[in-house]
Amino acid sequence: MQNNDILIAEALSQSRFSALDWVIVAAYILFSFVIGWMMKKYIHSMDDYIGAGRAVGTRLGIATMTGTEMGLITVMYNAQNGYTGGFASFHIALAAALVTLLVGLTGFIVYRLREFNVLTIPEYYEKRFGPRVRIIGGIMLTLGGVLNMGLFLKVGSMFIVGITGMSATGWALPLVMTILLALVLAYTVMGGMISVIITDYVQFVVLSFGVLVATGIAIWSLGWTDIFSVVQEKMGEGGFNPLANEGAFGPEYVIWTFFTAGLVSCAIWPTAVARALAMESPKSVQRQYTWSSVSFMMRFLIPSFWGICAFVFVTTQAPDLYELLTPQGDNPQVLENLYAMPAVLGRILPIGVLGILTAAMIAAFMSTHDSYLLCWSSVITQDIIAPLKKGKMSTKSRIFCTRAFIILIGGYIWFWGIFYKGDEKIWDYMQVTGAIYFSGAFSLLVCGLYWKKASSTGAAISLFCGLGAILGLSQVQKALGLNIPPERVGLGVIALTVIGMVVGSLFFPDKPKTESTTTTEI
Amino acid sequence: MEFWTLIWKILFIASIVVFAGMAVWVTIGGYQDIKTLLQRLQDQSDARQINQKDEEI
Repeated sequence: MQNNDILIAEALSQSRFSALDWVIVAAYILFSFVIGWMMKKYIHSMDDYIGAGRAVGTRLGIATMTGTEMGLITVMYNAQNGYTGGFASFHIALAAALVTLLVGLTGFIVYRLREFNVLTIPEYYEKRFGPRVRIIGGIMLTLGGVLNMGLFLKVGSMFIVGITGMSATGWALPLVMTILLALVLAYTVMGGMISVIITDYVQFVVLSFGVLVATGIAIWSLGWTDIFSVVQEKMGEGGFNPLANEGAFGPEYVIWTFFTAGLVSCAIWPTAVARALAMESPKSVQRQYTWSSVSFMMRFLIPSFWGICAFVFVTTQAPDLYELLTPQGDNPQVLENLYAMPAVLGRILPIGVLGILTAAMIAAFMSTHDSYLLCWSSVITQDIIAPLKKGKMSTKSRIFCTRAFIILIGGYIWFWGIFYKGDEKIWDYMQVTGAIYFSGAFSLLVCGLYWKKASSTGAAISLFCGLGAILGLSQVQKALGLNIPPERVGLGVIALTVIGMVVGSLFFPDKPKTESTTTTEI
Repeated sequence: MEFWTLIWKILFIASIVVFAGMAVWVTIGGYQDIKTLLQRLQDQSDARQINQKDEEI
């Protein structure tokens, strides 16, 4: 065991990360904090704090949506998909682009949702289905969402450890997790949505150019043709064809991906929808989605490509990493394959570019965390606590409550990152945990927006059916002695939520309204 | 397999080109949007203060 630790430390320490790169990273973090501090003066209401006063223009909307959705966790899980699945993993990017473009062109879900003039999805639940569904929906959303971000901190920290050349086995990972968490908590509590949007913009600029430069260097150092030929030689048909059963995916997985990476990630996932709801009009939402389809594709495509490059580099030029990252006989691999991409980038990128890319990735980490923390904590405050408290909650106490939950969730993701030991790929973990929320939300949004007979009882049944998605987690399957592919569990649960909604609505229709429903005050 | 190789090559090159163009457009346009956003928030804040003063009177 100790011998493995030494081998891992030696392999990762070959990163070119230098003092100059650390200076670049520190300067960027300082800059983000100055912006956060300066934006404080613009917060006067809860609307400003969580919705940036609903005054975000199209181009800024695209930047902030990209900033939020292209987080470090996204980069890591896609790199893992590219490393294990080769070019076949590009189908995820294709699914994201096509579905987001369709949503942008047709306005499916997002247009009507913006017309509802709400700030959060549970608030829509209340307007459409009543206060009871808002509270149940808020609880499901929080449960799925908080579980979903449980591994963000750990996986993001693994990138920092891998690219900077720290040891993956000792104190470095928990220390990096603690520092990153402290940074993001301080930043989110301070500024709210306005500072999130401004730093998302800065992140978009740095990340876009950093990503393009790093991709160019990776192609230049490995060779465009060689990248394809090595994948062909080592992975065969499965490295290119996502439908091939001998590969890492298969037809069922592809259908599941079109739903999750496609529809859910752009039109149902609350952090993405929060951007749509902060736009100035339903029309600008459509424009934002049409253009963001490019960003949605890039967030899957580029990291997958980095993962493929890491695979090519490890198998052809880094025997030390190959030995650690590949199972030997019956023994499992020594080093998690999530470390492959950052470790390889640390070896091929020049000094300076490494610093800029790491700063951009820390920014990506921070922007995802601040958006997610803000989203889940505001859902708890606005959609669970405030409706449960019969009396009015003042703006001051709502902001205080939101900030308190930001810190509590931060503590949870630190512990979950340390203690959860699942076997699944990160992308699979995220799809399963997210499905607790989004499979029910899908029914409520589609049926609620497009089917007049959808009732509050049907909605409640549908939300509870979403809990079945937890069966897709590897640890739960182990405990129950099951062995069902997570994509099959997910597709089954979605079908169940739709059936629950339809049956519940037909058997228990809502009483005809005698007066207009009012929404709990925001 | 050749079909899929060609598809992924075209997808990769096309998206890099489009993304590079979009990055320039959003960088320039997003800066202008930020200025508009902050101005609007400032105006809203000023309007609130005037309303408060009116109510006090």
